[in-house]
Amino acid sequence: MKWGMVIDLKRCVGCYGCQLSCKAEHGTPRGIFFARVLKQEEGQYPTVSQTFLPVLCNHCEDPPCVEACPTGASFVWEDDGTVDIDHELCVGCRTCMLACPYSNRYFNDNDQAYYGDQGATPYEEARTSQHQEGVVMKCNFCRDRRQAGKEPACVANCPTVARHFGDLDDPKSNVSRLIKERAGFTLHPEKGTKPNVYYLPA
Amino acid sequence: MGEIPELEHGLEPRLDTDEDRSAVLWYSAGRRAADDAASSTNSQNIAAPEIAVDVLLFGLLSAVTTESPVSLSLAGTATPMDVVAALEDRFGAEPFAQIKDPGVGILPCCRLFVDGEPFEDVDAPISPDGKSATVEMIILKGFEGG
Amino acid sequence: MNEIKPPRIVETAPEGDEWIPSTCNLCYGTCSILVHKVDGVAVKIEGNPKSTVGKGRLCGKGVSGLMTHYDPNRIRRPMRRTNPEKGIGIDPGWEEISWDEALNEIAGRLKKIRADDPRKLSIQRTTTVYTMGLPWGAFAPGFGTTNVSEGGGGLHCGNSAHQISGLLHASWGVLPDFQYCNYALYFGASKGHAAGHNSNSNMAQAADARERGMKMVVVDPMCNFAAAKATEWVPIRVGTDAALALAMCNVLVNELGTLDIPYLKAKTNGPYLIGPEGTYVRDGETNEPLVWDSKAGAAKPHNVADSEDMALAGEFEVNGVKCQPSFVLLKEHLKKYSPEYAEEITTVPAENIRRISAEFAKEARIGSTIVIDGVTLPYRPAAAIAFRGLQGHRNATFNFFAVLLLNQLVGAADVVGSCLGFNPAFDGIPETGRMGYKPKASVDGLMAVGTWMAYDPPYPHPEPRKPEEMGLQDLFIMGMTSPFFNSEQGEELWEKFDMPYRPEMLINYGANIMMSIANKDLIAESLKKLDFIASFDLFLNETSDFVDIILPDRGYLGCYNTRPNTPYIFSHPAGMGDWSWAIQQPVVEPEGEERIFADVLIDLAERADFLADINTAFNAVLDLRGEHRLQGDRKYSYEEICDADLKNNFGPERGLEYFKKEGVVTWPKTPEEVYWRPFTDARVPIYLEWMPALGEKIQAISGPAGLDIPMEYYSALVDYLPCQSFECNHDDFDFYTFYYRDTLHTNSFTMENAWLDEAAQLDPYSYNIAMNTASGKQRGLEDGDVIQLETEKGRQVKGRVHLTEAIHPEGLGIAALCGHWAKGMPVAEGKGVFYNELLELDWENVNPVNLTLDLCSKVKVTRVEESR
Ligand code: SF4
Ligand code: SF4
Ligand code: SF4
Repeated sequence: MKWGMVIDLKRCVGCYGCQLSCKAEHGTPRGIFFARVLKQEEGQYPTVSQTFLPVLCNHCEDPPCVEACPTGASFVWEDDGTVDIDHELCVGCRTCMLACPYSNRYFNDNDQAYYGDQGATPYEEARTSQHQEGVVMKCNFCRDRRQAGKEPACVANCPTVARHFGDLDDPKSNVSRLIKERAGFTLHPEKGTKPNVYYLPA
Repeated sequence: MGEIPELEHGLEPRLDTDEDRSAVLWYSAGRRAADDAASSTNSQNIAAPEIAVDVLLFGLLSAVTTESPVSLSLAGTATPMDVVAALEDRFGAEPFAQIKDPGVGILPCCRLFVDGEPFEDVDAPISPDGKSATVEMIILKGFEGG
Repeated sequence: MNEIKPPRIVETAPEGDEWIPSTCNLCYGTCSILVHKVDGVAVKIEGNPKSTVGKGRLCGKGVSGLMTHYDPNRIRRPMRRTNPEKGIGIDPGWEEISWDEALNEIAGRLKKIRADDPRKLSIQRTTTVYTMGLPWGAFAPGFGTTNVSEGGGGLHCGNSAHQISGLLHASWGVLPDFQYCNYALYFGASKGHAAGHNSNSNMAQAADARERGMKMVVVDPMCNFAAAKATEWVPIRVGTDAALALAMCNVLVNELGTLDIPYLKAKTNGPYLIGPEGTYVRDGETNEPLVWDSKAGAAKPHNVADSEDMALAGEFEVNGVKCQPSFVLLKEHLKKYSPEYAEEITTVPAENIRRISAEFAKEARIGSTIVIDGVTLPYRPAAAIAFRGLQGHRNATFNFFAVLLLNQLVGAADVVGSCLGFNPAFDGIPETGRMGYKPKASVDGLMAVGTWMAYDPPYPHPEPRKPEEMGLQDLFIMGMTSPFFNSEQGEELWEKFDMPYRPEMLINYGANIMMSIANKDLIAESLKKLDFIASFDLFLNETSDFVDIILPDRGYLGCYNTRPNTPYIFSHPAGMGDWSWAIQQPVVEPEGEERIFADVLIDLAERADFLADINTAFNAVLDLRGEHRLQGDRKYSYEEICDADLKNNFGPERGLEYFKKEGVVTWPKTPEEVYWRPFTDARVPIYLEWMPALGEKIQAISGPAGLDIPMEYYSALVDYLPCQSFECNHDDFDFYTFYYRDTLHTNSFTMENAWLDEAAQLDPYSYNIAMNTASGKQRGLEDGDVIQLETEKGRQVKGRVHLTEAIHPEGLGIAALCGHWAKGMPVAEGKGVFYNELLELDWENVNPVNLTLDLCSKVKVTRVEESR
């Protein structure tokens, strides 16, 4: 099987629910958002359009980051196609970050706590402090949640139900159907990375 | 001036028919209300002996007097308006000006309870069975915005 | 394949691992939540899928609540100032004290004031947790003060939106019926796209509508949120919406003639006969307004004639008086709003005005019906809506009314697909029938709301009187909030009106009025004058500089509230679907000595000897009956009161314990509740007959005091009237500023939330001033430059400019209430733009009908620093 995500740009309203629910789920350190929302405007006044473009790791089928990783820390789970990082092996060289054409990898060199000298909050103790420092981090399609039988946090929480998650290998899955019916596309196909995150046109 | 083409709709705003199918739906509630009004009979007030009414004043009204309860003797048909009138006789009209209104009688911000039950009709007798009653009054105000 | 199910409460959780149901309150949307706790620490907030409020999903603010809860800058203990000097930025020298000491001091002062004149106590509350207001609703009347205000007389309050929505839709606001609407015409209002009442649930409904193919035309100076998702963005000059809406009404009435005549006859005061004085011609016997019965060829009272026979056109003579149906007057009045005239005012091309009007009229499908759940209902899948933005102008009431008039003309009001008030009719809790309400015919056959958020409903209104309320709303009786409540400008007005007392003490609940009203210096002056201020807060903010005793609040994750979503006219999804009744309960222990504010209020009532009064007020506010009534001067915990409230409404089995476990109960709505309009005989006004007389009554009181009422605002027929800012004609002052709500922020509160702040810093708009690219280039500005905005009167504010194509060339858009300077909110400090700094706070800049503050200003722009 191959996990994939479909984000419906017609439904998305740029509410940042995904960006922040991902942070809440993983307690990522300051400066790190595995999921982000970009705003793009096109055209000229008064014929202008605004697009809200949520982005995250594309879990590419041909991931340049994995290829670039010198230690083998970045890898693809064979059973589900997701791209992950083994933090035991990551030496923090950041080669993968340069290789990712989407800038969806982050280096955890920050002070882990949001409030600096005021110390970690109980929440940060429980969540953020669990992240290893000096390594590269990124979206793992919410591996823990999937193992608990739940959808990824950003998908389950999206207020407009713009995000869908399922098996791209199964032609009958919700994601395969949506991609086919609504002409789903990926970002920067010219890079040849074959993303597993698709978008439906606005 | 003054001539609007009655029921002429200009463009073609209809769903799939020329018949104005919603008109009867708009008219029906008014017709029902008119029927109800026609069939309801006027209730009459029967003269009743005087009753004892204990009035408890709370909040801003509690400043009116230290007496608690205020004991009044009123006609058996006494309404909340009569209670307020009796209070005015006793303590002056001024403190009660804030709950009275020439249009609606007693303003909705003044809540009344008769024997522990909320009482809304300011023109209805507080004690239809002619027994004594306890009236509680409080002004609810200042809750606004958002 | 591995199907993944939506999250749910795990029934058999490991020890120390629990999901507790409660309610979000990062904004007043009050979405139902589940809080995940592991070993006593809250580690995640998710939506509660059992509830229809949020449907298990939360906005960006909602999922970030734990950062607010665990913020180390939270106040954890009561504190007292040691520095007697009060002023902006002057350190009060806080010293921690015990609760006992704090409460004794406050209660001592309360007792004195209560014996003297209880109105000398004023209460301010924040709108952010507006829905937590019940304990205040009992405390204030129990104490005996009528002076309670929401701390957002300015930017936060939809004063006119509420009032006019109440008048025409019996609700706090309006929405398109997302499930069936095919054509939604937004005048500003981000409904379903960013913030506001029920914002999160609306987002899913609006997305469904978009996917279904609903056309959305958004009139807005800026193309963000709703306009970004629209089929068509109609840029408009700031503050001129009424001119556009009235031109559209004119096209409908005088050019196209596409009107729902039966609706106008049966559901509006359009047939009421108006005499030469502009007032109703009344029946000699019953005093009811008369209509012309075409069938009988005679005048009859409105409640006697059959609506079908009522004339909407013609000129008549009744008892020797010449009269016409009010609709005729409206029709004539609208003629001056030609699309060409409107183009000049609004910059929207006349041909577009005609086209959009025709589209709206066509999509309304006048005359059609549809069957929903077996009930035949009028079908009007077009809606014109607005909210806070367009009414943030001096012409507030008319701006809002003009938009809603569009719906009235085509009968698109509270029927399938149309403009809906949110939940104006509710049949009551199924098992007990309790709490039901519905709009009904009242004075002159016009509609009175079924329920309201305040004690003064929009119609019928009381007679104006010489003001004795700090906000002057006993004179300006249409006002829901007042910017004069806590401002030096108020003092000036109180003097004029010879107010018999002055406020001496303020209890503040979370409001930061130094930032949320306007002109902070006037607010500061009024705060300095008070003898004593006690304030429940989460953080030491700008207003804290004036506070004497600070009380730590437990915040939304530590309080009880039995009614976060009711009355349903405030923040519950509209349209078909379910009713949900959720509660709020403490899910985390306090980190310090924070207490539940409701219990503190009851404590104060005990210490100041008014327990019996607060109990009676609770009985009244909660409508407690029988055994559930609070007795005499017994002291109850708020938990007990919540239990009584729930049992009183849901029966003995479903008290607080039940709700603490279940979190929410849900049951289906009926079509008669959602689409209630055909089932009421109440009418709504398209002609505001009573307004001129009201204006005169107010003038009779205010004129002698030296305050003249501009009567054009009290006209029976709505008009476009320009803002003060339009009178500034100096060459360099060439931008109109406007404020809008950001999707990431609530009022002035969430900038301290470290996650929301971080996301806002990354957003191109949240903390910047949006300016049209061409306008910026013309003035030599580059994206990222720091610019200064200055009004004619010299009020200034600085901020970073973001050049964008997505804004009207004359508009400057500023989001939220940022620009904090308090040291107690270090995350928020210095972020974004303090919009309010530009605003005047005086009589010339409020709507003379209901005191809505004008939020636009005309400014000169200068560069102060080049972009980094
Ligand atoms: S949560 Fe959904 S609607 Fe909100 S920004 Fe993300 S994808 Fe868009
Ligand atoms: S799938 Fe999980 S980790 Fe990836 S962006 Fe969404 S919430 Fe974050
Ligand atoms: S809309 Fe308001 S109540 Fe709902 S999740 Fe967002 S902040 Fe919370």
